[in-house]
Amino acid sequence: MIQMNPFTLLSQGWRRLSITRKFTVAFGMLLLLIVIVALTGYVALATVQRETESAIVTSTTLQRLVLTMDAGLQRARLQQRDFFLRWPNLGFAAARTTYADANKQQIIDLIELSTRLRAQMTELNESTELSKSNVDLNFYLSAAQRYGDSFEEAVALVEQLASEELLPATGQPGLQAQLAEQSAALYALLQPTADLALITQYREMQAYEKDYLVTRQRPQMQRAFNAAQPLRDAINSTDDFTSTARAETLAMLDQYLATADAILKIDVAINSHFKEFDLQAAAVDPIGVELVRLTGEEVERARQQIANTNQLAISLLIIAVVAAVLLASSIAWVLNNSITHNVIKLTAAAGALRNGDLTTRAKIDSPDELGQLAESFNTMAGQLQAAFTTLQSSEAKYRSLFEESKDAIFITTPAGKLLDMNPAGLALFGMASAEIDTFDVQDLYVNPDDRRRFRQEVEQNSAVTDFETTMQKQDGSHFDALITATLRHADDGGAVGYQGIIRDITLQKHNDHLRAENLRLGTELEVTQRLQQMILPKDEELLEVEGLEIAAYMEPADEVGGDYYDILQHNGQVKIGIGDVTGHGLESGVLMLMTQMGVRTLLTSNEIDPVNFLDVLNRTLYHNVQRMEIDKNLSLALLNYTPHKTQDGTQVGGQLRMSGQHEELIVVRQRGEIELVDTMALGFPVGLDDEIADFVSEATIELAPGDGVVLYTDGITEAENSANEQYGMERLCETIRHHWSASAEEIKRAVIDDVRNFIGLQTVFDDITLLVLKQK
Amino acid sequence: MKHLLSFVGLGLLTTLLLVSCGGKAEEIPTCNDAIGCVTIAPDQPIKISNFQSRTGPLAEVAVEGERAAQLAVEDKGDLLGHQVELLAEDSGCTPENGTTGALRVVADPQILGAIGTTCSGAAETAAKIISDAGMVMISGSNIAPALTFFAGERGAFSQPGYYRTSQNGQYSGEAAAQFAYELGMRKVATLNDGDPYTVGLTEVFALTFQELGGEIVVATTVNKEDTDMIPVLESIVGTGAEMLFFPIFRPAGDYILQQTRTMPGLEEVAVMSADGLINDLYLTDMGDAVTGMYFVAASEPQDAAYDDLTNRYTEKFGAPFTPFYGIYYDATLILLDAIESVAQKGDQGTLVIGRQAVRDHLTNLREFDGTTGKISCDHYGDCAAGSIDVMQVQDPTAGVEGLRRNVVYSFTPEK
Repeated sequence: MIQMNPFTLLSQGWRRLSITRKFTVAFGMLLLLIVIVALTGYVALATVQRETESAIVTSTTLQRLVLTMDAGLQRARLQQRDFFLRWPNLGFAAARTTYADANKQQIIDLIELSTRLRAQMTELNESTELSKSNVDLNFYLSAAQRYGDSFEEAVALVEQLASEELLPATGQPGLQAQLAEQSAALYALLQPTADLALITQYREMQAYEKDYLVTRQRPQMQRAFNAAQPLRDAINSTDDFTSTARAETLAMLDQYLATADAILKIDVAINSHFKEFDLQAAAVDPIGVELVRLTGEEVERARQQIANTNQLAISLLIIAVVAAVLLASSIAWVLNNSITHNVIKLTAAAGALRNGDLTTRAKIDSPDELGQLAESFNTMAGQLQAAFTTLQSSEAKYRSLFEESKDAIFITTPAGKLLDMNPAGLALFGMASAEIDTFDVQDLYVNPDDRRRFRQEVEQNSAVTDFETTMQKQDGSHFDALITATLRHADDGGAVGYQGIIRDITLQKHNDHLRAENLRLGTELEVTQRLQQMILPKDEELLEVEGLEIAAYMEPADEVGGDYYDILQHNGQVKIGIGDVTGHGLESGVLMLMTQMGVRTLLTSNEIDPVNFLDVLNRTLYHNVQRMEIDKNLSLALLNYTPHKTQDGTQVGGQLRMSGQHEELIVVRQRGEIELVDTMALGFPVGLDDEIADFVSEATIELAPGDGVVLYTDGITEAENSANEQYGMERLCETIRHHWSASAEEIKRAVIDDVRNFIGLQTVFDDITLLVLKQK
Repeated sequence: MKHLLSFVGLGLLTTLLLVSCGGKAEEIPTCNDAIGCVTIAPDQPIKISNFQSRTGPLAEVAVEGERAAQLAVEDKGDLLGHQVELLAEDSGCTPENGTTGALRVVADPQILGAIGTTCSGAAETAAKIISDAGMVMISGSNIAPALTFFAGERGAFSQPGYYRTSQNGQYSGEAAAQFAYELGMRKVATLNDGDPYTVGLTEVFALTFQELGGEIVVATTVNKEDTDMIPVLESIVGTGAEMLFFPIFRPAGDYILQQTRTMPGLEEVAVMSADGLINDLYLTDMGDAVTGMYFVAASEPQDAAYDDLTNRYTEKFGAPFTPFYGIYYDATLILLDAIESVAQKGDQGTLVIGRQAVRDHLTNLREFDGTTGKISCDHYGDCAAGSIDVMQVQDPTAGVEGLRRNVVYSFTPEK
């Protein structure tokens, strides 16, 4: 069983309600809200009234009681003080009537007030500080009772001491009166004796007694007692008394002393009561002060309670108002969510659908009427979207084909009005899309008759395939085209136009032509290259050169290179040539072939003068270049090698005589030392000018065994790596020096490998030629 | 409307259930005590008044009494699951002080008993007030015979709720008289200050001394606040008095001694007092005048339990000035023992303690192991253990300790 929380249940219940019921419930809640606010206000005000009355009554009652008690206690004290201060002057009876009796009533009232206060305090909230002072109040009450009892005892003691009237208990007046009578009686008994010593002793004793009665200092009375002893001794010793009178006098003296002693005791007792009053006052007064303070605080607490209650009432009202606002907001929110919001959502969905957004749906999850309407709307929208999507998909497919086709696609009327043309067609004819309506298809044909033939063929066969014609672009240029088209029919079967594809075949035709031309030229170059290779000296020829170890290498940059080298022997004369025709290709290759032919011819004709040799060769080539109308010439250095032999025919080195302008000649001595021979002053580029004889001169190089020379073209020194750095003379010389102890072939291979490593994967842009000649 | 009624009914039912589930009420024992009970809730302490003379001539004794009570409560720990709270109250040293202090004590009906008073004068009135309130009062320093037993009869101030672990002055008076007589004295003058302690001691002394054959040549009273003792001393001069016995307090005790020493005719008179003047300050302040003076007081126990208490007291509060700490420690112990013995306990910790039951327990206390000895109470309220010593001052600067070492006479009461 699925557990659902109350909110979910409530939410589901609400959703199931019809709109009418929802409105009924909402307004019912509003009515309930009004009732709650009214009740809250009533309760709050009633609470304020009750709490206020209670707090005020309790606190003011307590305060009044305490203040009354305190005032009563003060009055009792004043009456007590007045009684003891005034009885000696007023007389005991008057003082008792005026002060003691009033004090007694005051104490009774005080006790009654204390009892009421204690009863009131028991009803107080136990948390108040005042209620915790119950122990103090107990003491206050018992102290008041004790004070009353003690005061009565003190008054009784004073009565014993000072009463002028006869006391019922003894039938005598107060002790002081008795003492005075006894003193007078004693004096009356002593006076007849006329014994001055007796009278003097009596006076001394009486004086101390009187001092005591004034000062109430016990030592004074003790002195009186001490003075009584010599008086007693004198009474006993005097001869002036009869035995009866002596006994009577001594008895009176004893009575006098006994009364004095009793007065002492009563004074001690009265003094004790005074002390007790003071102690009780000291103990009770702080309690009175404390009670006044606490009741004051209680009143303040009552005021605070009223303030709190008011605050509570205000808080309750605020809470009620906030709750009302929240409830009203909640109802509005619920109505908004369940009705208004749904209507808005439905309206928005319909608007979106009207504006073409077929994906829109009314998201209303409610079983009420709006929910049902939304469901119907969503179903209709879904069906509409599905149909439109199918249509869009189909249209997009064909539109994509039309827009993205590389061939020109067109639609025209039979009359020649261009209805539509795809971007490839517009680009082909150099038209803008906006210009479509203004074109007459007839103008696109170079030959108007082709248009007529096209229409005839399409209308006869309903289609035409690869109809070839020449068409005209907007800029007037022509191109060859193939048209493949079909006839467009109206619903009644009549022709309404043509649609088809136009393909530009101009480039295709040009490529076909180029391909044929390339084939022809390639054949020619291949022949020339083969000729070049064929005329290069064979390895066995190189081996036949006496006195020199020779290694040669040539690699053309294109199929046909422009570099030249040769090793020729004739009649004991060794001719070594190296040159570089400007450019590459067939023309350069032919010029190189002619140079080789010229050199061999002059050698064969025994031309040994290097100046003539180069002069004749130059003029021969110059004229051929002129005839060929090519802008070519070449650098060319020619070297004649003559070996040195001793008389016994032993070869001991050789000599090189060099002429013609080419790259610097590298002379390498046996130990690898390098010497560079500049050739700029030895000649002039061959084929550039008709007359160069004036520029030609000769240089001689002696070769010892192990010495040698290295000839090369700029394809080596100017070879570049990926960083566009040239191989250079320095690196070439270093490589040669490093390997010079090896054979000529190994030196050649080392140099070529090093150049290859240097170039890496870079393309070789120039012919590379290297000759290594090493004196044996 | 039906739904509304259902909700209201459900609310009422819930309220009833909550109330009924609020917990089972405690079964509190019934009080059958003749004079009432003190009921102490589970979270409330057991209250005892530490009712000592914080003011007055015996303030030092009072301080030691308060501390000893505190130590006893700490040693005992919680009683039946309740803390014991000592509430300090000033008993003063006079009947008037006793009255006021006692009224304060009885104002709190939760108090079970009071440890005090320090002075017999205060006890004269306080014992009645406290006893009338149903409480008990146990003193460790009251000496006045009239508070319990005097001259073979119940004392004038005896109260059913009053007990003491201090020695009855009856025995001190007897010891002092016997010592005086054995010392060769035949004529003695006594002075009291009207306080029941001094009156009681001097009266017992006089009765005993006269029974032995001696003569009381002067028996008079001074006021506590008197400073001029010349007249009363003059009354002694010429009476042939060989000893002056004045078991009273300071400051009157100061004036009597000083003025006796300078009074012509009394130069050779021996002087003797009692517990009320046994303290270091008196011995120090009197200087040479106190040399040779006799004091009668309860003897100091000499056993391991007492030594242990002395050590713990000294460790906690410093060295004691008087021997009363042990007596007050025992006074507190027997009260705690009585409460513990008679208390009825509810099933949730509430204590119901009968006031008469506490008294009965104390009255019937026998051979209780106290630090001052085996404590047994009689039906007058006397519970003291031990004997009485008469000591003589040889060197005032040696203080009470020096005095205690110079015991010249010992007396064991026959109870």
